[in-house]
Amino acid sequence: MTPVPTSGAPRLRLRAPAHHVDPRAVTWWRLQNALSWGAVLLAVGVVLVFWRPGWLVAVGIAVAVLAVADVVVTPPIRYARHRWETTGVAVYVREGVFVEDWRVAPLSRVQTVDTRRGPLQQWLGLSTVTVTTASTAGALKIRGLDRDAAVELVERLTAATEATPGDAT
Amino acid sequence: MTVTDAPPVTGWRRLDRRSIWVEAVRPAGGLLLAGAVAVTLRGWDRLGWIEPAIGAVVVLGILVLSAWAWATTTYRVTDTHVELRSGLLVRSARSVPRDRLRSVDLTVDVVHRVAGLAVVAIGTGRQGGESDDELKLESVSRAEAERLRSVLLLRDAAPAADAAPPEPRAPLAQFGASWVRLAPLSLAGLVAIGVLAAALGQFREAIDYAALWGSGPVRSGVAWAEGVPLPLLVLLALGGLVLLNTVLSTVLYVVSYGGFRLVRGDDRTLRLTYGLLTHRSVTIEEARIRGVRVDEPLLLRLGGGAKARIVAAGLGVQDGEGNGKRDSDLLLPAVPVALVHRVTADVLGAPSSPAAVPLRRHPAAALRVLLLQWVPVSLLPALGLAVPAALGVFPHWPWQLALVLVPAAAAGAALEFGNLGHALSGEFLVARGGSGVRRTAAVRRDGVIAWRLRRTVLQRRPRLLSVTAAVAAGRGTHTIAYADQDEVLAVAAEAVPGLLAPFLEPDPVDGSAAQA
Repeated sequence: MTPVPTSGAPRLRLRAPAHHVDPRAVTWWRLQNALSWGAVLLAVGVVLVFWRPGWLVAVGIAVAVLAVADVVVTPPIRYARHRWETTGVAVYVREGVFVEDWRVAPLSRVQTVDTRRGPLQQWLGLSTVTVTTASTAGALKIRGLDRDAAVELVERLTAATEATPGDAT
Repeated sequence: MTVTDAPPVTGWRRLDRRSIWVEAVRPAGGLLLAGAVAVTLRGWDRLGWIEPAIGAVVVLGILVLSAWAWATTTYRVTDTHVELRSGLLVRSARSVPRDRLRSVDLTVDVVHRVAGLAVVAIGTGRQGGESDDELKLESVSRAEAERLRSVLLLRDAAPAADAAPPEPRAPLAQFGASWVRLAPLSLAGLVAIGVLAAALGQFREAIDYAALWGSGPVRSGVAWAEGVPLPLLVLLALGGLVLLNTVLSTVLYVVSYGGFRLVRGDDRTLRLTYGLLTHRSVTIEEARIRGVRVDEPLLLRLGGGAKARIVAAGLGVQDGEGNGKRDSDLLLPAVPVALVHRVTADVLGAPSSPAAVPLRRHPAAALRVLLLQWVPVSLLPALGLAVPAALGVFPHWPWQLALVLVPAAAAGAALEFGNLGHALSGEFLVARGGSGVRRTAAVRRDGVIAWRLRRTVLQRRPRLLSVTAAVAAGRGTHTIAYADQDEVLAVAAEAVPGLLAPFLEPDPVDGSAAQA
């Protein structure tokens, strides 16, 4: 099943955005995954204390293997995939491990720029920047930026947005 | 619309005083009706004094709440803003700049008509939460509603220089007998039967089954059915359902859309009016229209019909399905497809409907991806039923029957693949998809406010890409699904010049694994 280039159309792809997020994001995602998988494992463990049929032990082991993989393997891949870039006219974000997702929004259509920091992110000194447009399909998220870099980015984007008249629809 | 020089409304106003009664009629009436049905089924002799007393207290309570809601709701229209203050316990105050208003939607149902009132919903185009995109006044007098409509959609700015001269007010579309022919091709009647059955199901505990079973008509019916061979019985039942659906769908269609008229106002608005029982009158500012969507459910398509919806911010429908509560984005109900094409071209100001242009098909690899999405899921019920059957605790025929879903899913995938397509047509980007319902969205290229591109691991090797054009309208997703990567990237880059192009690069033929 080798892909056949369609007649005349040059082969194109989306290039990787220029910047990575902060490397501490890997730790953040590891902790996040560890916490959510930990809750599942804890629940299975509690049941196993009282009731131990063979199939449930097998399920428990499978969940544990998945959990370890999701804590050890996925976050670095996610870090490698998640990249962002702003140019004079647009914001460009790529993310996703199993489902790849690229988003592009022109600065002239940006409505709000927010930052958000969960408890883990506060502890690690990270921020998530959300850029929204007038469509719910058009929100871009840059997850796991350094806190100060995020503040600087928000200021820059807000200034660029305010420079454009109109209601961005 | 002779209000060109009407002074702006100032000062806080209340809703019409009659709305206290009108707003209470529906909940109180529904309650009384439910009570009456329950009592009838249980027998009137078992009715004591306590039930009517509770009913009276509840009705009184509804009235008091309604009066309180009326007393606490005020609104005003200033030169720049529309403001609404309301709330029984939690006070809310909303203020919307007038230049953000997109549409004015008047609804007059039977109760409101008797009282001479109308509900006014003002589309604001906000994308925040569920209730954020409209400002609703229920209810004001009919005259006040008309006045609000004229005042609100009136801009002091003169129409743009390129505006067409005011056209004669011939309607763009008008309800006709040929429309009704298409009504039976909808399943609305079956849905209505289902809703009715569910409502009656509420009373199932009150039914005396023994008496029902013993009654004459039921007994003779059962006796007759026993004498008829089963296949014939099934055919008869199906035929009965089809007949019932035909009748009910037609009635619903005529009641909902009877008197449909679509006209273009000379203040650059579109106005739709329709409905025999509930009058609906929606006014949309043309400058806010970003495109149209043509929906063709399979049956309707085979019958040569289609429906159309407007893509514009602030039209009250939040789910992209358009089956939502408000329906203010309706452009045409099920009508002959030629009319849909004529009207959409007219509304969009295009020489011919962009929703009718030939589309570029998507590569055959998309069919494989679709089959992989549909077929495994369709196997699940059979698998789930086969396990207990294998253990001997459940008969075998259910899982065998559930296998019917597999060819059905394959057919669904094939149907969806057949519908996939996209095109650039003048000022419009056209995207088509959907399986049972073919949806063709044509949106203005300058209305695209962001791109979202996705692919799953399945799409990576065959170089397929799904591209969503985000538009400031409702859920605003117009997706070109499973398109050829090179082709769709080139189309997206061309559709909005300068936006996507800087982020594209040539893909070396041997570098399929070279992505960072």
